[in-house]
Amino acid sequence: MTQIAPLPFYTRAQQAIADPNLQTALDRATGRMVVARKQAIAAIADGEAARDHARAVRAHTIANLGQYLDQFVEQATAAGVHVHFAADADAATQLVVDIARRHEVRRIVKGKSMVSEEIELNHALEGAGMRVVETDLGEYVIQLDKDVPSHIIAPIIHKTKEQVAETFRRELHATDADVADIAQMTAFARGRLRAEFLAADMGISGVNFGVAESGSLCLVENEGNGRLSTTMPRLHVALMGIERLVPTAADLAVALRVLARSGTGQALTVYTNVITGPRRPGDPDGPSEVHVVLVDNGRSQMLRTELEEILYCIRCGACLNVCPVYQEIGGHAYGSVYQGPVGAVYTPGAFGMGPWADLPQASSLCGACKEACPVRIDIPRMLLALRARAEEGGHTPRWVGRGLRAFRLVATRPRLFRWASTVALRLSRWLGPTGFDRLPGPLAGWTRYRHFPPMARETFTARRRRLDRRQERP
Amino acid sequence: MTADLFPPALRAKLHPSGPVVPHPGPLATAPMPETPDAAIVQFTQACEAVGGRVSRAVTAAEVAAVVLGYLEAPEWRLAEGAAPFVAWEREHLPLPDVTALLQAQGARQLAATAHADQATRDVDYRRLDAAVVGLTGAQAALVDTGSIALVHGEGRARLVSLLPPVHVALVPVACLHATLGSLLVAEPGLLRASANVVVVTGPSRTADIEMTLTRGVHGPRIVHVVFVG
Repeated sequence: MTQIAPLPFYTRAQQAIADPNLQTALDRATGRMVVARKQAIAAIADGEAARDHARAVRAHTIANLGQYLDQFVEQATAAGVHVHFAADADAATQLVVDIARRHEVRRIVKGKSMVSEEIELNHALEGAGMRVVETDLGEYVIQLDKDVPSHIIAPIIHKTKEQVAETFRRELHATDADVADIAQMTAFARGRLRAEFLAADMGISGVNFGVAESGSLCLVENEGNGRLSTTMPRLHVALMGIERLVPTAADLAVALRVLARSGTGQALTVYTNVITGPRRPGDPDGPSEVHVVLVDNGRSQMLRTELEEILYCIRCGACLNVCPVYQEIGGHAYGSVYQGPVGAVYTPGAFGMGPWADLPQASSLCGACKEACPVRIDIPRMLLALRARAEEGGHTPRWVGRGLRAFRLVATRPRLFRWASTVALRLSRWLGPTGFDRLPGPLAGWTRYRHFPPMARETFTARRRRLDRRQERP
Repeated sequence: MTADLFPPALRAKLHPSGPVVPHPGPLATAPMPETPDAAIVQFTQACEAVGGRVSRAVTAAEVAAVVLGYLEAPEWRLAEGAAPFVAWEREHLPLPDVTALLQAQGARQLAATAHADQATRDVDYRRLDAAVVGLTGAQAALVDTGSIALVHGEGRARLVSLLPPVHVALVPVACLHATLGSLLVAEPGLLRASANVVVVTGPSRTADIEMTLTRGVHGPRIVHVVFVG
């Protein structure tokens, strides 16, 4: 993981909130996504049953991951796929660069792959003198702009159409007619990318699900660039996280169903592309050679720990769209390839606390992510577990732990608590209506991001006693 | 395999620990509508909802008329004659005479094969890229999502349903299934039987720019499913 967060999370979040373009783009986009998802879930009678089922399949698969990985490797190999394993990002990029060199590859087309972002593959391939072109429309714009994606499934959710038009004018010399509206911009990009597909000699893709029983790679997408990237070049290399397996084709159907509905509000994505080995004798097209690189890169650090459940994730992005924090700050502020609630667990879990220790704080623990998750991952539980880890590992300022211990001391002793409330109330009255908005000393950081209204004239316990007494009277 | 693909440290973690987590078994999916006509009505609703087109045909001549309609559309009119098409080989089309009929009516068919070696392949791709209509069969149609399943292989090129802006798929009425799940349960060997199976649900689309739907990106912008029989 080389994409180290350059600034503290709070600074990045503040910058994001102050960026008017980002706020416009986020308001336009997240609203539409939340509505689409709700309609899609409501449209199916068995939506809830399918979610329970998908969760059970994921839980079973992760619990028995060794067995299914072995089966997948055996079946894929039998189908003629070259299967590789990479323990970390460096090993993964080296493997792909070596494969490309061996085949004297010069031009590469890429379908969308989160793993490739995670390992910063493009950088390595370009360093080896190869031309790499992202072919998903959003990723293409990201690449032209030398930007990074800000959403798992909607990479340029942070850009307005005006910004995309500007990028096409600047980088591709598009005319005003080429960028007149979104349809024109899409047609313009299609023309440019079609030429890349026709000439490419290697295609790189991600994998949504590997099917253990048949050794198949399943890729889902809406544009067709994923199909073109895995069909036209003579060589196809797929990158796949070690956790992305389903046991059977029937399980795949369930997983695809909840993925499409949660991700984009579709019944099924436009293309569900299942690849089982290279082109066979007599096949009129398709790649002559298929490789799959199984990437660990921190995933196994979460296996058999309290964070294991995050490996159930099917990367639909629903938790990002519903998260009140993501809706305000967008994806870049997280500083990671994996953003939003899932990223706040996944990033420190897989890549280590280090610069990511404050990501689990980027949540109000409202639970919207758990509610939206198609496989019902308990993200708030793991955010709390990571906050505890951060505190134990010394990643949290010492006063936080001390302060919380002091609070526990007071809050578990009723008489002391009552006394403390009364003192705080008097202090609040004395300071006036905004007196608590700027607390002194180590508490200043806390009030910088939160309003602290003046306390009520009566404490909760006093009010309850008064009301109880009134009820007792006839 | 002689050596383990996975290093010992990972291998140790891959073993199950804690209580047994059972597989949930099969998920009951929606039942098939009682009559083929009801199934086609439901398929049509789902397919049209995602921007696809659906019609029915009995004879090859009817399908040829549909294809010619697209080939002769003004936007693709070339200097001389109609735009070219590509197709799966005749034995893989439910109405095998369609391609011969189209040629008899002046339509130009391009060879769909892409050779494995790079030099010939470049020529193949430039030729294929000119096609305006791709004509395929389909292994199955899925009622609940309005999807069609294309099993690629000998005589059934993948690029036919991908490169041209218009895709016309011929599906026998007998190939209707309730859902993707019921298809994969009914035909457990389907994925292994071919190097590539694609389920297509409507025309190619994107919503990357401001979540605004645009149809026809890299794949066809028109997908027309014709039920045969």
